[in-house]
Amino acid sequence: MKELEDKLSHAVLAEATPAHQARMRALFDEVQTPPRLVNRPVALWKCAAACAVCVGLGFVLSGLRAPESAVRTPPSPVLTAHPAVPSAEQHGPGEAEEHLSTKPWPRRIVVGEIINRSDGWIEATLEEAP
Amino acid sequence: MHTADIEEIRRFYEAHQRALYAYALTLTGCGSAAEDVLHTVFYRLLRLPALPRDLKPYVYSAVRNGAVDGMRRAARSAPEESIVAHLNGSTPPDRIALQDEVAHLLRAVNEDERECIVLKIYAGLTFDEIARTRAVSPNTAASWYRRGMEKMRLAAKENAS
Repeated sequence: MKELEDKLSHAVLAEATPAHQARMRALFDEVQTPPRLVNRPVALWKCAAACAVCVGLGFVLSGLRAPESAVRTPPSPVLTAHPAVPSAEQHGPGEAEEHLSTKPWPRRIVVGEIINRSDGWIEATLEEAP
Repeated sequence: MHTADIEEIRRFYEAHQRALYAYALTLTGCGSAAEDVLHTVFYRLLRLPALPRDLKPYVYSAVRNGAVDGMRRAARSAPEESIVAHLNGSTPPDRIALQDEVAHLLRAVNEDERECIVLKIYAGLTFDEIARTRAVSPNTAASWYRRGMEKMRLAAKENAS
């Protein structure tokens, strides 16, 4: 039996075609070079962390932006006329006085005392005109 | 599957490609069918979540299952291509004679015996591994082998006389 086993083992086996061998090589190469994200979970974590940072930054920036009403400049009480408030000429002195006292604006402001400060600034008090 | 596992499968394939092809050819009897079986087996193997524990018996079992499934689907009569290579004219005559004799001897045994002999001699499987591949007891595998070798010995004796 040993002699027969030797004889069998010395026979050269048939080989697959070169096309098949190329197909098998391609099969291994295809599996060995997958997209990096699929093959490396750590890259997914990095990506997720980067996304979280971007989203968080977006929230922070949107929160920092002041609302439109806060940055709007209030109308100057002296220079801006309020169209809804009738003037004194239209109603007469008594009526106009009464109306102005109930409405916050417009009002006439006059400069009261002016103080020259030692640090170079000028301090002034504003008073509502009678 | 990890890159190291894929590399191990590649090394296994490169070391066993002739034996695997011979085994697939023994089962299918057709070169192109044997090639398809091998490709399918390794395509599926490379997409498993983890490397099988006993790779060698696993792959040979998978080749057997693939060949049986393929033959069942095709329902064809196998043209019985030989697993022994056809060497060209530049090969020494005694070498060609050996090839022809082995091809002749392998035809003298039945399918189970031939399969067992191919797995034992060319694939290097133990009787335990052959038994697992064929889902039989190791004694049955050993018995197939011994019976097949005895038939071959008688056929060789007849040839010589």
